[in-house]
Amino acid sequence: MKRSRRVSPQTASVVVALAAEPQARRYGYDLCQETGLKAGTMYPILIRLVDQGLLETNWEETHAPGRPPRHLYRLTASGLALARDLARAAVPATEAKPSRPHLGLEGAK
Amino acid sequence: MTSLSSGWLVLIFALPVAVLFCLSGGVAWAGRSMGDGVTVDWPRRLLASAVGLMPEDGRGWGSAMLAELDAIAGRVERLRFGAGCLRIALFPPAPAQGSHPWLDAARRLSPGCGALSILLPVTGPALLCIGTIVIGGLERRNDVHGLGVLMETRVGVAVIAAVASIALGMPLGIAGLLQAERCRWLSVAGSVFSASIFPYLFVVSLVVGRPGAAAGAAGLSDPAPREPVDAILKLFET
Repeated sequence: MKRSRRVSPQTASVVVALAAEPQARRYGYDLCQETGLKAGTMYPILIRLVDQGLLETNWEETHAPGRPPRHLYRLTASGLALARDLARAAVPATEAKPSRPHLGLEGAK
Repeated sequence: MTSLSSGWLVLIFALPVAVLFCLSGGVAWAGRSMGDGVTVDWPRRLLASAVGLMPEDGRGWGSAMLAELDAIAGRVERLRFGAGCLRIALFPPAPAQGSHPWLDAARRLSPGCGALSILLPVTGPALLCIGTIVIGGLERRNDVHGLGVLMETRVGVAVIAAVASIALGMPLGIAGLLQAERCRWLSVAGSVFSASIFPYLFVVSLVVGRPGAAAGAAGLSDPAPREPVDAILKLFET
């Protein structure tokens, strides 16, 4: 993992939400509701986190009949390390204004 | 100067487009009917169509978004979620910088290849048709014959742009096929349309250039036989 990576407030909020229950696998829509991010913001973040090996995904094994299985997300060890870094940096992601693109931590790109 | 009426110009250019849309729509509808038959609402239908245009390596995410949408209750919330996902399906985020930037750029372009292979060849003749009608109208209003040098230059540029947009349909369609886009019919239809529009215009020019009923019906005041190329040019004259 590249620790020099800068993380946007939105990405930080997703990582923090996932790190709250590190072993739990979360749905994308649940993360949207918890973080207040829209789907159009959430999915690029999830896609990039997966690309960077910070997030692991799998399809739910049991799902409601008549519905396709949903994607589940959980932080990897690298993702948890990033979450710890974020906590250590004590950046209050929840106070960040969305209009401010970066908090000194920049997009996970 | 002889001219085709606006109605005939519209007909000549709209006919292949209408045929294209009818065939494409029929194929798409038949394919959907033969599918899994899952009841779809508008957010899901739009998102599913967009997911079909995603590159192969991104379709997993498209399926994830669709599955998530299926789990959401509430019309407004589904619309909001679907709209956000639709944007991502149509314009996926740039992949992480790879060692092959050209390949990465091509991959980013790929979602629209099939759609663009239809859109560009359709837009080209449509713009030509509209432009021809507008110029004809301006000439009639100002009671002038022929175009000024500046206008001729603009018309020339417009014709070149239109021809280029028609011709681009073929490589874009082939690119869509190479990218194994799910909606291959888009790429196939775009390629076929792009390849057939020039022969079509050539045949039309032969028909229009022939003396007799066809020419008379087309509103030509000069029934004399003309060379095909000259006849094509007549199509764009007003």
